[in-house]
Amino acid sequence: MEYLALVPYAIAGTLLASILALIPALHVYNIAGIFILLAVSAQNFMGSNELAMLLVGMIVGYAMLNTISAIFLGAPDDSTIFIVLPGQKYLLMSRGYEATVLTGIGALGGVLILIVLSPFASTILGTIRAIMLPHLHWILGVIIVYMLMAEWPKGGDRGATGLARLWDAWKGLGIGILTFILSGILGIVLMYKSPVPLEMSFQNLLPAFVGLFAVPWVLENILSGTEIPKQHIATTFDAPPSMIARGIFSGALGGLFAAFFPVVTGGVGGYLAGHATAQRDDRVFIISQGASKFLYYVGAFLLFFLPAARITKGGMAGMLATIYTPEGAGLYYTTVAMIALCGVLAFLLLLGYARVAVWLVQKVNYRYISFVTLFLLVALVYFFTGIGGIAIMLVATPIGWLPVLWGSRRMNCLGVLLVPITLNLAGLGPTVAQWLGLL
Amino acid sequence: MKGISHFITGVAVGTFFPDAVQAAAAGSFVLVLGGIGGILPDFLDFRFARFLEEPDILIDPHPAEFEAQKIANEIAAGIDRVGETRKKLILKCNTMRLGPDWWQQYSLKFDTKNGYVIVKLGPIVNTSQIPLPESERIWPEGRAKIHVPLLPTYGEFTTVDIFSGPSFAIEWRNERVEIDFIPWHRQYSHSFFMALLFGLVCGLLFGVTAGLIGGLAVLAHVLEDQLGYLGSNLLWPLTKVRSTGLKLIHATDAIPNFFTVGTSVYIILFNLDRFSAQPILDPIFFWGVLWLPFPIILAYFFYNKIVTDRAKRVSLLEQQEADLIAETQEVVDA
Repeated sequence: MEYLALVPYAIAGTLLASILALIPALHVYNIAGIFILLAVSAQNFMGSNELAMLLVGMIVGYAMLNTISAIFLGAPDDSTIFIVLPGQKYLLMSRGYEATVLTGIGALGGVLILIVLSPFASTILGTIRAIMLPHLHWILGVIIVYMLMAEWPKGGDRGATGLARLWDAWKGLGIGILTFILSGILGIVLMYKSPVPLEMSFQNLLPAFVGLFAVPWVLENILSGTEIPKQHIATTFDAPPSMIARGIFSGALGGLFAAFFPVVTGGVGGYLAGHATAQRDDRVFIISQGASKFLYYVGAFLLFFLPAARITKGGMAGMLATIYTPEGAGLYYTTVAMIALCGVLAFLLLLGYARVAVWLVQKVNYRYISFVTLFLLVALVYFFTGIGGIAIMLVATPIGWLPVLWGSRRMNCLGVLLVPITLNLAGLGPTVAQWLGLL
Repeated sequence: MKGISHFITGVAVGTFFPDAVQAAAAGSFVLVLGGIGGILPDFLDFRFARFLEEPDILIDPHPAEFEAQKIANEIAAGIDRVGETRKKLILKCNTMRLGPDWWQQYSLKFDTKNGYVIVKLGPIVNTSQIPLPESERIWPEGRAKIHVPLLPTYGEFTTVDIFSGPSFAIEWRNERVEIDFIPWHRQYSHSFFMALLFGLVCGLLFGVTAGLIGGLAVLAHVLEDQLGYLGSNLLWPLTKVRSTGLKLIHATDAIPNFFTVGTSVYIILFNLDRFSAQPILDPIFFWGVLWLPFPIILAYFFYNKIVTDRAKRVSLLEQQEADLIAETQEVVDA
C-alpha cells in the first residue's frame, strides 16, 4: 500500500514534463535540478521516495514527448538530434504527425523492453560494469574513431582531375573533423573553466547544447524560409509489425548501451545499433530512435534503483544521488510499474500534443514559429546560466552551424561531451587542459 | 560486410593480446588500432580511391535536358569500342543535383542477354532516396544496341541519384566484354599487402603488439569480405582481379552483420575479463547459454538462404555486382 501512494506523484511528474517538453531546449534536467534544490529545503512537504517518483514520472514524460519540439519546431537536443532530419523530412511530406507517432511507438516498445529485462538487470549489468570499468576510456575512443571514420564523402563527382574531386569530397569530411575538434575544445573549456556561475553549474552544458544543436537548426529554418505543407493526421501508420519489431530491437540495443555507458547519448547509441543491425528504412530508423532515446533517459534512471548494483548514470540520477539513496527490491519494481504507467499516459499525451503541434504549424507562419523558438532558446539560456551562458551559446552556435553549411554530420558536435570525458577517463584531461592554458 | 562489423571485429582481434588488454586497463588506447585497421580498407576505397579514378566516358546529364537515348548511345558505343580495341575503359555516371536535398534520379541497365543498354529517367528524390510524389515525368526511354558479346552481369536497373554516382570498368575478357561494377573497390586496399603495410606502420610507431593488432585487424576485414560473393584482390600487386568469395552471405545481409557485431562484443567482454586480475565470467555459461541466440539466428538465416537460393537461380557475376551495389548503397546511407 505504501507504494500505491507514490502513483499520484509519478503521474504529476509526467503531466509536468509533458508541458516542459514542449518548450524547445528546456531539458528535464534543468527543471529537475531546481526541484532537487527546492526539495532539500522542503523535505517536510515531500518525502524522498515521493520526490524520486515525481522525477521518474518527469523523465518518462520528457523522454516520450520531447520529440514534439524536435520534429515540429526543429529544436533538437543531444539525444533528439538524429530524429530531426527524418522528422522534418516527414513534416515536409505532410507526415509530421506520423513521424511523431512512430517515435512514440518506439518508446512504448522501450517500456516493454524495460519491463522484460528488469528482473535480470541487476546481475547482468553488475557483471558487465565490473569488467568494463577500467576500459571505459578506450571504448569511448573506439566510438569516436568509428564516428569520424564512418562518415562518408557526399561530393566528389565534379572536378577535372582526381585531386580536384578528392578536394571536393574532403571538404565536408574535413569540416566534420573540424567540428568535432572545436566542440571537443569547447567541452574541455566548459569542464575546466566554465563561465557559468557556480550555483548553476549543473546547467553547465545547457548553453553549449542549445548553441550546437538547437540554434543552428532554428536559424536554418528562418533563413531558408521553410514552408510547412498541410499536414495529414493519419489514422493508421505505414509500418508493418515486423518493421516495428526491428525498429524497437535496434533502438533497444542502442538505448540500453547508451543508458549504461558513460557519455554515449541515446542518439549515438541508436545510430550505432542501427548500423549493427543493418537497418535502412526511414520508418525503422525513426522507431528505433524513439526506443533508443526513451531507454537512454529512463533506463539510465532506472539503473539508479537497481537493488544490488545501484548505477548512477545520467544527469537525473547524478543529481538525485546527492540527496537520496533508494532502498529495496520493492521500490525498484514499483519504479518499473510507474514507468509502465507513465509511459502509456505519456504516449496518449503525445497523440494529443502532436495534433496541437500540427494545428500550430499550419495556422502560424513557420518563420514566426522559428523566431519565437529562437527567442525562447536565448531567454532560457539567460535565465538558467546568465551572461556566461549566453557567451557559451554564442561560441557554440557557429560550431554547430558548420555541419549545417557544409552538409557534414551534426553528430560531430557531440565532441563537446566525448572529448573531455574520454580524456579524463584516460587521466589525460588535466594535461590537455594545461596545454590549453586552462589550469 | 557493413563498416561497423569490420570495425568491431578489428577491436575484438586486438583483445586476444593479453599485454594489450592490460595496457588498455592502465590507460592505453592501443586497442583502438584494431578498430582503425578493421575499417581501413573501406576507408581507403570510399574516401580516396573512388575519387582518384579517371573516367574515360563521363555521363554528366543536365536535369532539364536529359536525353536518355543519347546517353544509351554513348555507353553502347563505349562498350563496342572495347570490343574493337580490347582496351579497358572506365565509365562514370554523375548524379543530377536539383537543390540542397533534392536529386533527379535516372537509371541504367545492361541487358546482357539481348545486348542492349537501357537508360530511363526516374523521379525526383530527396537525400533519403524517398521520391517526391508525382515527380516522375513521362520521358522516352533510351535503348541502344551493343554489337559485341557480353559476359552476364547484374541484370537489374542501377539507379543514379544521390551524392556520387557509380562507375563501371568495361573490359575485354574471355572473348567477351565484361562490365565490372565499381572497379575501384576491393583492390589494393583489400590485400595481404595492405595488412602487412598497416601492421608495419603500427609496429614502427607503437611497438610489436600494436603492429600485430593493426595488421591482423586489416586481415580480418579482408577475410570477412571473402565470405561474400565477390572477394578481393588478395595478392595485389601480383594479381589484378578480384577473386570469387565463398558465396555465403551478401555484404548487407542483416543477420550475418548482427551475428558478427554481437559475437565480437561477446569476444571483447570475454577477453577483457579473461585477462583481468580477477576473472568473473564462467566460460561455459557465457558461451554455452548467453551466446547461444546468435548461432541459432545465423542457422535460421542459412536455412532461409538455402531455400531461397534453390528457388531463384542467379548467376554468380550478377550476385557479385549486386553485392558491390549494396555496399555503395550502405555508404550512401551512412
